Amino acid sequence: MSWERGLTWVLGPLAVAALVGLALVVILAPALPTGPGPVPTLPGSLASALAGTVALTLVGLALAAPLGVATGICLTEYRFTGRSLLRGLVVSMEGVPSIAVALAGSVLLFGGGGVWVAGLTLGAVVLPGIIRATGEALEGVPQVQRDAALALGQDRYGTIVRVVLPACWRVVLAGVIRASLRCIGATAPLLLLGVGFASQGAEFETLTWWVFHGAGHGAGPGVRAVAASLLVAVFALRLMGVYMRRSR
Amino acid sequence: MSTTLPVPAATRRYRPLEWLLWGGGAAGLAVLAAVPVLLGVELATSTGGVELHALGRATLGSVALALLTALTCVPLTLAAVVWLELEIVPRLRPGLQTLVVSLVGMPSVVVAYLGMVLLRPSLPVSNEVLLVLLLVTMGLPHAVGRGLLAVRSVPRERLEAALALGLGRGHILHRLVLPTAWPGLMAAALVGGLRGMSDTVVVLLLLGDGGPLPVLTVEILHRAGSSTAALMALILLVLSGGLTAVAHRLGRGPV
Repeated sequence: MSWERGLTWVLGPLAVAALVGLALVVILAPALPTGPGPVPTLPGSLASALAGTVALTLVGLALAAPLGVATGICLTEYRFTGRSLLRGLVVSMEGVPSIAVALAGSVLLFGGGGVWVAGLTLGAVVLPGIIRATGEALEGVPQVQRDAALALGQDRYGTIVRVVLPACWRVVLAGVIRASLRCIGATAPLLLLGVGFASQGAEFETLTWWVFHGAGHGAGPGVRAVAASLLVAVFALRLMGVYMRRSR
Repeated sequence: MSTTLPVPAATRRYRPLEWLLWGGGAAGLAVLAAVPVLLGVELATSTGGVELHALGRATLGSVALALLTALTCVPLTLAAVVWLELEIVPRLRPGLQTLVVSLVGMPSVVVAYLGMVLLRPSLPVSNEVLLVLLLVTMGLPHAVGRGLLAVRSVPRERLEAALALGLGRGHILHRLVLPTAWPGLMAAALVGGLRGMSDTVVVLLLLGDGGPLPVLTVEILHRAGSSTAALMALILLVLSGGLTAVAHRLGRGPV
């Protein structure tokens, strides 16, 4: 066995086991002992945090999903000057940290926060991802199907709606699911946009804020359960997205 | 005599919807363009001068953290990708690959929580080491996912030809797979390293203000409302956007 193979057999399983172990530890976290000493309680309500997370995700997706899919279709299915440049810019924007987008979003706050501004900012954060996922989904449809539709008298839009999108809607949906995960797991941008405990006068609270506060100030099984359920939910949704991509 | 062909009925029927599609596309691009514009507005309207010293230190800190994460990601990504794609028992391959790729969406706050509550009390390492460990953990699924695509891009015919010529697996890996997939693998490590530059929550919780070097993301949070924060956000936008574009180009992405 050469040294490359030996290294691969040591480090490869180690990396994979670390990732799988991480998931297992967090899933089993609520069952772990909490240790000695009093467990601080959080001044928030779980229902309010859940409602905040759902509302933010819905507002973000309401902006990002239609605009992202439309932009992805325009950039992939139509040929026009500057298309490559625009696609490059979209790809670049996908890597921009959410905190930078949140600072831009905070300009729109005008002194107040709220679910709407935070949700729209999260929408802007996930928009490039949806555009790229839509583009990749459309590129996966064979060109011969478009040619056949055009030859049968469909125009470009009819071809997209009747032939291309039905062939790849699962992959587009997987991209939207992936974007929703980013909305659910977002924490840093919300710190600029008014997240906190509603009982202490904050505009809204989220599940991630619970975990963030719990990590910083120490918290008991409640926060562990929230962290574990967040991870399981995100993992399950992600897995669903992966299988949707494959079942095209 | 010139005649014009009649416009097909389908074209006439769909035209308003097509305009709507183009409107949505233009609006999507406008939302993306609004981000740097709004940061420019913030820079122009916020009070106080730019603190160049803090800006330089934070930029240096972010680049150093990204570099450290990327360098740690390189061997782990290479090993994980080669093991998952070429060495593992074929029956286990799809399941494990799916599992690893599914870990991409892990919320950073949960990873930070795990590090703070479960790992920090039990691991005898400094906060800085734990930070890099957690950033690598978050970046690795991204990097492995991209790395798998790079290794799969090696033509099957070449692999079979190498096997037919009697080359061992080690030689195939060393002489064929790694040289062919090298740009994609480097792009994968770069994507993993970008997690180090873009993460806020893990750095904030593990280091707070006490790190050896400040980083852009946390400094933006602390200095929000000042010109320095706006300029930091613009620098972060250019740096991370540029590196993402480079990673996509290296990985033969859709740029």
